[in-house]
Amino acid sequence: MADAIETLTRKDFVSDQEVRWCPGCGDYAILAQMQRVLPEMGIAREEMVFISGIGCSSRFPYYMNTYGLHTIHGRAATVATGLKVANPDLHVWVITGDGDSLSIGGNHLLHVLRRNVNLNIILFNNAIYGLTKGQYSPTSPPGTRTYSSPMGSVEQDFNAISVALAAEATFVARSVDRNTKHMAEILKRATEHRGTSFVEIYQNCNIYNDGAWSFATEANVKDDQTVILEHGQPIIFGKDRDKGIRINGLAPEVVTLGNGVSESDLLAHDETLDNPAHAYLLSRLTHPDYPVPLGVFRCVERPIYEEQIIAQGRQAVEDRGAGDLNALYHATDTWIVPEGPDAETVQEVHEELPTSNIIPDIEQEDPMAPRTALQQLLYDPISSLDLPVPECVSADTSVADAVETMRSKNLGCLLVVNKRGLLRGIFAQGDLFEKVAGRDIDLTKITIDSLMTKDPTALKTSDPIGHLLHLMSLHGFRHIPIVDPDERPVGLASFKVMLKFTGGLFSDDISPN
Amino acid sequence: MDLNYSLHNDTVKHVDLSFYVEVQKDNPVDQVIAKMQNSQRKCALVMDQGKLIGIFTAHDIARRVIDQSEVINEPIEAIMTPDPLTLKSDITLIEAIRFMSDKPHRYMPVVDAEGRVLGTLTHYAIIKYMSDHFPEEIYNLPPTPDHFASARDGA
Ligand SMILES: Cc1ncc(C[n+]2csc(CCOP(=O)(O)OP(=O)(O)O)c2C)c(N)n1
Ligand code: SF4
Ligand SMILES: [Mg+2]
Repeated sequence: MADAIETLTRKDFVSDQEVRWCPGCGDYAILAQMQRVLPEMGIAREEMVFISGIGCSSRFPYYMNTYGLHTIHGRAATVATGLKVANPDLHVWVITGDGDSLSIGGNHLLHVLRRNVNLNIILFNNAIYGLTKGQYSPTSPPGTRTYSSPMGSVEQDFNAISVALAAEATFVARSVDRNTKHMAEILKRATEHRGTSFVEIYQNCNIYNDGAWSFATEANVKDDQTVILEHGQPIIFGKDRDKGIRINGLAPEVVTLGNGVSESDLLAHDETLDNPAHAYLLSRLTHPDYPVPLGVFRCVERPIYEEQIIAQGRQAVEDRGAGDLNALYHATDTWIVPEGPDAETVQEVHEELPTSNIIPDIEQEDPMAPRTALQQLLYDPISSLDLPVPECVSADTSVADAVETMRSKNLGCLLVVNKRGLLRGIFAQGDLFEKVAGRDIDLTKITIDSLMTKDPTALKTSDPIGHLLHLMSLHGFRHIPIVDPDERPVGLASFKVMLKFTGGLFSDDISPN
Repeated sequence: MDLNYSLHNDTVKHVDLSFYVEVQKDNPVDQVIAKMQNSQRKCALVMDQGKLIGIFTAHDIARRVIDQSEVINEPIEAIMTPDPLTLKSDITLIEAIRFMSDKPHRYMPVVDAEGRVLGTLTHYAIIKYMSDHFPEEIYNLPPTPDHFASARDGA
């Protein structure tokens, strides 16, 4: 019998809050990956806490349907440390920006890393203060022109990975918002690590620092300008994988394979080295002289802060009995301060701040202009797709009957509706593959209720096609129900529908544009 | 990067062809299924002495295996689809897209000029390839389309 385990899905992690990031901001991609990865980690939602400081990135906890704290500028790591010591069973993520954790919170970051508190720090590095509208940050390279450095910044920038290594971090990694697959892997590894995990994510602020990481994201250059670190493997990169990093004395150098240079001459990556020198050397590979490493720089074990602190407390109680806080307060010199003059009554001032709309005006489109193929693919409403009508069944249908219906009608999935015809679930071949195949289950004895994905992600006919691509490419949903405003299924979008649409959209007459 | 240009110039080799597992023709069906489940691949290519002789997918499982427990111990050869259609590795993506959207096949083995298997083209990999052209428009979207705020926060 298949146990109907309550598995979490991406949807369980999506909160009901309006997302207040600029359209196109890289923060969205990080949010999407977090919501994709967490259901796979086998952690109960009520055991997760997201703690942030201040900044655009620090709005993240609002958008996660978990516990969350939007705390004080630069102090997320501090609050998180306290929480972990008070309740070590929680899984804690610190969400921070380059300003939040490297300017005002620099000190706090160093100490959480050094202590090795068992939590995960995700630093959204956009090399700018986004929330305050575009001032240079500690990761902006010298010469960066911003509102606060109109003639170019004169400050040496920080390399976040080098800082983390110097602070004795036990897990240090880097990824980039647009490499969604890599980011997912790194987020998983960070979650699994015992001790403080530090992950820097290159994040594009498309409003105030657009293209800061284009060397690591543009398809035509990224393979030559970044290198994916793989534990135990020689450091090789390049579109044709023909270049590598060799060590010459204490300096790394880029070499081309062949002509007497073989893979065995290259530096091999080892993330488990106790001595951080190797990881530090890798962190100094910076653009444009070297390919910039993405991946895990360092992953080592060290005792965990809160475990030791809690053990000491327990030991003290065992040796000396439970303490008395009141007695402790009065144990040495204490005195009473005479009462002073009446405290001034503090008047609260509520100032209405003008809400300025900083997002540059989006060019008004001419409604009569013909739509390009790309506009159609990204922005046209889903109603312009040729969608098949879904086959709807009720949740008490036996799996045997559902299998037969799918077979006779040649369907990849069924939608599950309640008595009023409203969407309640989706039952697909993938569910049979994952949950039934290879197990000895009598299909006439179980209903699809126990196997279907409950309350699936659905879109409306008026939603843009781009959102279908978002769900399909980031979350791998092959079938997406399309519903009317009352949540009645009216269509079924699928990979296949998208391919057909794409195939018809692009003519073979390619004029350069 | 212009998607239209890429679709007409990049070949199927340019997308991720790794979404499959290889099995041998005498592997029993249950082992094949376990291998597919463990690696989360919905497509198995059936090989005989290094040559592709068949294909077996999650679709076949749902249609031909799921309620027929007697087949589970048979060799995969007995139940696979023999001589699967393949794609040549030098056909362009737009050709592959048009081909695959007309056919029921969700998984198509890709072979080089000598007939060697390079991988398997899947619908998902094509969708991902297309989306990679528009990270800002596709990846940087809120979890649901109505989640965009009317005004952005500022300090
Ligand atoms: C104590 C304090 N000092 C300064 C500020 C102004 N402030 C708000 S956010 C921010 C920097 C945010 O930068 P970052 O952490 O990189 O976040 P981003 O918006 O780029 O994601 C600053 C300086 C503040 N809110 N509080
Ligand atoms: S200002 Fe930049 S970082 Fe902040 S939400 Fe907008 S695009 Fe994102
Ligand atoms: Mg920032």
